[in-house]
Amino acid sequence: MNPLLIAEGLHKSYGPTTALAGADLVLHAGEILSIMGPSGSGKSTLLHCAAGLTSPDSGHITYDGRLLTEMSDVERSALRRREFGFVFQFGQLVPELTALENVALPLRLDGIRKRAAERRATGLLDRLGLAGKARSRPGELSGGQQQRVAVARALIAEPKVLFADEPTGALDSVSGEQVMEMLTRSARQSGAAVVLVTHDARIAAYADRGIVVRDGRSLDRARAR
Amino acid sequence: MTRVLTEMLLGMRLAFAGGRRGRTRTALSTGGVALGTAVLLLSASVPVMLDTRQARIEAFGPFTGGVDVPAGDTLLVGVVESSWHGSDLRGLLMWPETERAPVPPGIPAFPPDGRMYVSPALREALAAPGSDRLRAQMPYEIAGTIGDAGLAGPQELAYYAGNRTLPDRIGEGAYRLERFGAYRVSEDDDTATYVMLGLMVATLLLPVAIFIGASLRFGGDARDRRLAAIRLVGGDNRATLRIAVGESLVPTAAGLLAGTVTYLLVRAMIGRLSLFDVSVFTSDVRPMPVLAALSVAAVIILAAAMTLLGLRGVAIEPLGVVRRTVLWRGRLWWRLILPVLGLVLMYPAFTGGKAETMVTIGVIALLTGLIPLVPYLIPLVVGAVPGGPVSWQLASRQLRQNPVASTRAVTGIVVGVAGVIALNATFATVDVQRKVHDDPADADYSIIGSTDPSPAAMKRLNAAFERVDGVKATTTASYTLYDPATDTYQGFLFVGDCEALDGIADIGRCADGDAFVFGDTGRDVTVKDGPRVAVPAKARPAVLTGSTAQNVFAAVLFTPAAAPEGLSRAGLDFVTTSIRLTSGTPAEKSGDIRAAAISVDPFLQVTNLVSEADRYGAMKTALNIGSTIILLLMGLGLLLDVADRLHDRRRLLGVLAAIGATRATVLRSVMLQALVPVVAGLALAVATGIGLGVVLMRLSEVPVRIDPVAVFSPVAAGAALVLICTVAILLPAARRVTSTEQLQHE
Repeated sequence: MNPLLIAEGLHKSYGPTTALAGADLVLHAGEILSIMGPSGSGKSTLLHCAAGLTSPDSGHITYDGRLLTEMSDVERSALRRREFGFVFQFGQLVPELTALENVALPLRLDGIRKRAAERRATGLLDRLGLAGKARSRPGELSGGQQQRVAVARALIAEPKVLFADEPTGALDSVSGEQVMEMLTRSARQSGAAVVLVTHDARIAAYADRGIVVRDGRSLDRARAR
Repeated sequence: MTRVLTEMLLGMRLAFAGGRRGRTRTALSTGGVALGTAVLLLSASVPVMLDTRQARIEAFGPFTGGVDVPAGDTLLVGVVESSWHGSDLRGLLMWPETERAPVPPGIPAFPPDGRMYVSPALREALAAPGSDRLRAQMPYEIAGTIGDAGLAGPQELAYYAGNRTLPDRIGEGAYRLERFGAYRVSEDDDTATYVMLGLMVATLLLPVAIFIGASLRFGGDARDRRLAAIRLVGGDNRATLRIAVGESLVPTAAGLLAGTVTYLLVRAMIGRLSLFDVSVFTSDVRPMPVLAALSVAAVIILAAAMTLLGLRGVAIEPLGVVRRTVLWRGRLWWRLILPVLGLVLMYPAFTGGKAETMVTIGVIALLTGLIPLVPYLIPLVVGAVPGGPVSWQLASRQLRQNPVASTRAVTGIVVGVAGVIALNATFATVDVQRKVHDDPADADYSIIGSTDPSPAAMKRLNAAFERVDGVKATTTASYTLYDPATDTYQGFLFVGDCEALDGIADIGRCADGDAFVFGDTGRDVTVKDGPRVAVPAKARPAVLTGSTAQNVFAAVLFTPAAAPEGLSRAGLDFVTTSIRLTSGTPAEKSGDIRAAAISVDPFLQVTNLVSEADRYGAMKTALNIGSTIILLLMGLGLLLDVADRLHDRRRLLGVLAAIGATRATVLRSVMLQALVPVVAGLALAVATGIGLGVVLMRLSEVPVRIDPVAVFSPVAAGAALVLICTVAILLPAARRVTSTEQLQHE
């Protein structure tokens, strides 16, 4: 089976600080891949580059046969709307919009009518156990509920890849487990691949496969041991 | 297209959904846009208003262009000019010579003898208590009401009266009219008022524009974070811009609507108002379509420009917001373009020119030029004090790093205060001038128009006016003297009783039969169109006083018993009654004096030598109301700005507290950051305001005089406002912003 996403020889520096020094990543359709590593190792930068959120200084990223590094802002934005989903530690929800509006946002930005977008968003919120919270704003939700809204939003457009950067980093262990359960179960149901950045081995255990990033280089987790 | 619309609608939705801060921002921007729209629409209505008013005046004006009209189907008319409580009172006496004589616009038929049509405002004034003195000015029965076609405005005091004595007064106040509206008249050239109005609109409008900008930027960090979140889920750069513009469209659209409603409300009430003794019909107040369209466009462009300007230097990326900090380069040259242009355009004001449009544009350019100058001053001011305590060091670093952000909310106050100082200083000087005579020796009123110089007639005149309580009247007859050899003007010959002569010259002791001489008259003098008169050998020297002395090189003064034979009407210039008030004020006595004059002869011309009313009173009221609203608006803007900056810097302040800075140090530093721009800005405002005041005083032809109260009251108001607003926001927030808890917030 051909890989869905391939990142090869990625280099990225922020001023004098090297974040990536030849990191690689291969992701197959439907698989859950964890990226682990100590703080400052470059694991988040690798995820950001792979998702087209940051451009690497050098190296190639191919998604579904297309070179991500050569795409325009408009093309990458369209990719984020239709084929990628994101769940971050915090800050990704629009605090002024309700949970329902947040979940429907990617579809609305893609030109889908409000009623249709919100119907799909309602269904997704129901599945994630947030039926009674559709009209609540993020500030009125607990951390775990906010992350579940973020998961719902990441899945609304039925993406092929879901990028999760420390999705449970701001949650207690019980809420973290719940969010991971939902995230992985929903991804598997929809057939989405997941790139999961975490420093927590218990969270990484949800993945099918893992890589470790150290000093900007990636290693297969089995080899890293 | 659907996507564009969806994005704009999403932006509009966010304008309502921004929580308390978002709603505050939307409400304040709406208020600012509404105020700006209303002022702009009113300004856009002024040209139509003036044109329509002028057309009305021309249509009913009894003007002949100075041409003697031959008898025919003509109307005999006589204009009676008077005033009531400082407002002009226009009377037109008329008597038709045939049935086909022209009927004045606004009345259905000629009023019969002894009856009159009155304007609604005059009818109301006559019905009001204490109108006896007004009633005495017009001894006619009311026959009806003058319609709008016969009036310049709804508050105009006017009457059209039938008077059968007019045929006997042709050439003595009465004249023939072939038709109404035959000649165009030109309005008074009042450069000073024009420029003052321009300055007032700029003083009120510029701070509003600055306020709109500040309020649209309020909560900018939250908006940027929101947009970054939208970028993450697939919004591209153009989409985020459209969402931001959509967000600013809500207060703009709501403000335009509220501003239009405010304009319509003011318009509906305008018929009840009178400004500068000018009232206008509601129907005459409509904006010029081009100016109205420009006003609306200006508001929309301003809102969009401010939004885009707020996003300048900000890269909104899916992972967050990156602010590109540009190093402050305090370049002066481009900041001087507007002030220099303003000074160049104002040059005619210093040379006695009357280029009002040019001077007005210059004044506005100078005022606008303050906006970029204020941030330039800040690094200079803080640079002058390099050392100092920690709080000053913290404040000065921040001020030097970004003076534009530090002065954003203050600029409006500076512009407003500068404009108010200029106008206040001018009003104060005009006010002082208004309350004094050109010369202390002058009378309070001067009345001319009588053609009978006989001592008996002059006594009757005095008696008629002295019936008014607190009035002393004296009358002189004056004749022009000329030199027949050179056919040049030589001076005047005055005839009057001792009291009258004492009013125009220092004559010492005096008895009837005495004569006086001023200057070099020779042994005899020649009255123009009159006899040659010998200067009595016993004539004693006298010195002319007051305005009478101006440009008079020689004069002969006779008491009635000494007056030479053959004078009477031949060569008579004027019979002038001078009135001095022994009690009361001109405003109190004016009605009685004018009524007395009309009882003698309706065509007597009453001139008040000191103003009865404050010409700029209405303007002062408008300025006071306007500047209060503006200062309150600025106060709100400042509150927002300080709150916003505290919110943005809460983490940094938390860090300072964490490393041991005391609460007092942190608070002093924040306080200094708010106060330094104000002190520097107000110093600039004082200098500019005084400069503009001097220009206005020159245009108003009053001596240049700077009233400290007029200058420092707006400064004190501005400074107090800043202090109150800063303290009001800082004290409740003091504990919060200096808490190390802030470090835990992301």
